[in-house]
Amino acid sequence: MTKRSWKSRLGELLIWLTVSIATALIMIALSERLLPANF
Amino acid sequence: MIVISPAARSVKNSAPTHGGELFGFALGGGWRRTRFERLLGMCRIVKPVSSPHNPGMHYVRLFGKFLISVGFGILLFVAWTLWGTGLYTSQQQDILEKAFAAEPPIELELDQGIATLPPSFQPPPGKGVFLLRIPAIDLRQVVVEGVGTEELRKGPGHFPSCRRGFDRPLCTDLDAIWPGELGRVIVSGHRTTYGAPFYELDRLQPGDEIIAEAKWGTFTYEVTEKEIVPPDSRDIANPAASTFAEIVLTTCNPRFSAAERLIVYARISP
Repeated sequence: MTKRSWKSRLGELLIWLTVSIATALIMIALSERLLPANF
Repeated sequence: MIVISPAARSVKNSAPTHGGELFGFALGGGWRRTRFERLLGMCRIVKPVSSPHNPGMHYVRLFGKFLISVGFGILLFVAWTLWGTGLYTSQQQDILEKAFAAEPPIELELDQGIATLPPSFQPPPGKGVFLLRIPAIDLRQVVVEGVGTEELRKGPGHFPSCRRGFDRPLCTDLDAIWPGELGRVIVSGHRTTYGAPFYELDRLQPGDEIIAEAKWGTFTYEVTEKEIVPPDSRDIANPAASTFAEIVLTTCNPRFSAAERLIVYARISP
């Protein structure tokens, strides 16, 4: 396994953070549609 | 005494191969000298490692990272749902309470403690219409007109009349009843999200006070009973003609679920 630079590791972390935030946003959007109004 | 083979000498002087160690196992390509071997400087103590061209391992690692990211996203969603939404409601309640306090009183003549509002009283959706206080569960919220998603984000909502153009099932087929009037005032509120104003509604007991402070007077109701109904029940929204003034509070039941609805009935105090 080659040693990676900190920039490469930071870039990968940002990508996964983006995936996390996208997941949260999708679930929030879905919950607005699926949950009853006074949940 | 350590005997050094000729082969070991060649390893000693060779460039180290690429690879890493994880929990004692060497990963990477080819043969690799161990730390112990490097300390000795020349002994050929080597162990086989996996091939660097193992695409399966790469995808497993990638999938693992993906699952961790999705899991973290779900945690963010739960945190937002339980606490983040409450910040918005708290901010909206501050705005509503200031606006409600600044409104002028409405002069009405009460007939034996019963109010009758003019038909022209038709506040727009989302406007604060009265202040709801329940000392037993330390609740103080401005009730807004309407029970749609946008309205309930601000606080508990007063069921409007479908005759004013509100969409079923978020309205009553009858005329809307206001605090102090004969008939049923219906208030719906969140139990889990958006500040969860009705989180502890199940703790109310017969005799507990529910106070509605409106611009035309303050009316005190006493809890008479509680009921749990299916989530699609519309009975409370369309009651038979009533000879007394009552307020009905409704929310989801149990907590963190929408499988049922909890309803609390309260009659006006004489």
